[in-house]
Amino acid sequence: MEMITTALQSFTRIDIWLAIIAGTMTGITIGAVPGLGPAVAMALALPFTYVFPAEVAIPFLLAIYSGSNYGGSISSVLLNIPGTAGSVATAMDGYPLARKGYPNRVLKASLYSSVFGNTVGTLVLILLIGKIAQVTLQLGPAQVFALLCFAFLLTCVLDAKSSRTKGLIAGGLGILLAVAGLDPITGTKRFDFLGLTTYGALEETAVLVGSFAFAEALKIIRDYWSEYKKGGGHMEVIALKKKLPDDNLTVKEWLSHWKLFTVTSCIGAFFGACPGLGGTIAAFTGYGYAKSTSKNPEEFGTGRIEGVIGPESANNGTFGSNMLPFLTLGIPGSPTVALLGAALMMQGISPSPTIFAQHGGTLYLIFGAMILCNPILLVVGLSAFNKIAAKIARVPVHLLVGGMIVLCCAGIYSINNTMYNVYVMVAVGILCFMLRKAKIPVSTMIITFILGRDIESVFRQTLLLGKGEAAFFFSGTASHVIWGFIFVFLIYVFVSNIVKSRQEKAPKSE
Amino acid sequence: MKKIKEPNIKDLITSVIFLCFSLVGWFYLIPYTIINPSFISATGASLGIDSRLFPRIAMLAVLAMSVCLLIHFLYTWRKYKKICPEYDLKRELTSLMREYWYNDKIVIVTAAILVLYCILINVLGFVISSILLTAGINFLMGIRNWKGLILAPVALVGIVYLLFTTLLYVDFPHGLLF
Repeated sequence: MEMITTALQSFTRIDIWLAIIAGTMTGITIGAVPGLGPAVAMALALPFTYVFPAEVAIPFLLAIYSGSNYGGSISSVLLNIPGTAGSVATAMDGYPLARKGYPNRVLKASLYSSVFGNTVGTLVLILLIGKIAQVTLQLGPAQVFALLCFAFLLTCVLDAKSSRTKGLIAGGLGILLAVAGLDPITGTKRFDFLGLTTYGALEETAVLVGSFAFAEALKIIRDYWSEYKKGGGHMEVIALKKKLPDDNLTVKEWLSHWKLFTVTSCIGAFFGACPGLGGTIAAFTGYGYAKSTSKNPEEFGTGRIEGVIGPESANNGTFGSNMLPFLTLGIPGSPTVALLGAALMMQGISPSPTIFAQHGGTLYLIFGAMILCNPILLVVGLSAFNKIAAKIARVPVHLLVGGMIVLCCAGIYSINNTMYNVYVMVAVGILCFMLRKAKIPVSTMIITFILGRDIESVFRQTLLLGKGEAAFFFSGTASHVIWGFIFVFLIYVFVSNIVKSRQEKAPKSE
Repeated sequence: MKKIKEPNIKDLITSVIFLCFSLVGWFYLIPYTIINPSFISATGASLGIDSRLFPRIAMLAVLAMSVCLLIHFLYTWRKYKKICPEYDLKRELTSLMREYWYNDKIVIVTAAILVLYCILINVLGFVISSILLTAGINFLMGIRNWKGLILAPVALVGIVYLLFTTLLYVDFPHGLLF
């Protein structure tokens, strides 16, 4: 009860209100820029946050996250250029429906579903985090190590967009980035070329901003150049001005799909809490659910409103719930959570099972602010800001790229006034651009980069406690259960690979 | 008729690059850049804590997966060659390289400009080198008017500079001119 009162205090603080309003507007605007998504928006804003207290900085980033998720649907629906992989599912029916003359109807469906999904995800976080933290307090280092290994495997193997082999390459690269620098126990310098270890280890923020914002800037330059040589790209932007009299979605109409958005939001909340799954898989599962429960599944892909509500609720249902494994165990389920984690750590809040004992008040203020994000997103989304954001988002590409690069460099330099972090950011940005070309999942590399340090330190802690005995890693019932899950999961991966290759080899059924 | 996928030539390049990287990492980077790795406890036992262990596991994962990727490519290529004998690996590779060069040379030039920027920032300072960087990128992107090459970079860097120095009290590197 005391914690809920603390959470409600955030509603009375003007600085938190201002941070959320500014964050939502920034998020919608950046999200509406074709190709940019929540990760880039948060990466660009991250360096600004460390001058503010945690209860203002984190809600600002969360508002950017929820705003850019919604903003992404503006570019998906009006331009058919999804900012994130999760928005692809929204564009599948949203864009055809907008082309038919119903852009406002689609955007409203997306907004209501986003707000509902966000609320469900946040409530799941608030209701479950205390219980999960209590359970994780009972876990010893051997069990935590097993859990981290499981999270590592899930992250590497379950990326929807790439092959498992490439996911594991990304995982290995993430660990290599994580261990570069001074070894915290032996004091040994690792990969000490170019004076790296002078600064301890790679700065998380520099790696995160380099991999998302900076690599994205390089991709924009490359794409623009390709289009420029071909004589300039042409984007057909659908105007938000009402064309058809019924280009609107009333709340009553939206509520008639209550079963769909409730189930898909819960799917999103569940997927968000599982490391390695996240928004993309949730959005496609939500789309699949909407299609399978529809009376007219054959019309999906031609512009069904359920094809917008399902994926949007599911994608946004991960908001909040994806922080559960991070706050209690330090396992970031998605790149955006990794960015939030970097912001929390810049504020001196390290995720651990004892996080509530140390920072309970601040955390509940943040949770209160997360609830506040939703009505503010609804108001801003329904206002004329949509149209303004859609216009701002059409900023000339050269200004956008120049702004992104200078902002990244200045922001990363300002973290501890050293050029070294800028060098790291530039190097990681170029590396991530090349990895994207090779279809190696950068988000997996970043999550394993964050996980890598914890895995190594917990592994060593376990070795010290077990006096070097390998059997200590498998001690306790919880360890047996988690290793059992890992074993079953590996069998599943193996079997599904065989089934997949057999399906590929099977003769075409004409 | 069996459904055989066309081999992905990008997988060949990726696997060879990561194979080379992991071999260099295993035989050169780890032994020569991680020196005196073992932890010895107060009782004299090492307890298996070794600074090379995790880098080795990671390098091994990259090596093993690169080999898997290469084997998968070679298997698909061999199968595909049977149903499509005119498929020429060398020709495909050349065409992909040509495509990369055609579309991605801009990124190589941008990367070179960024490296130059990192060097110049200590000589010219943040403001001047950032203006030059932004103007350079705009030039690369085909902007040829004074607004795009002078006004936009100066305004952009000016706004960022003012924002960071007045709001966040950041002291950017100064150089010969500013």
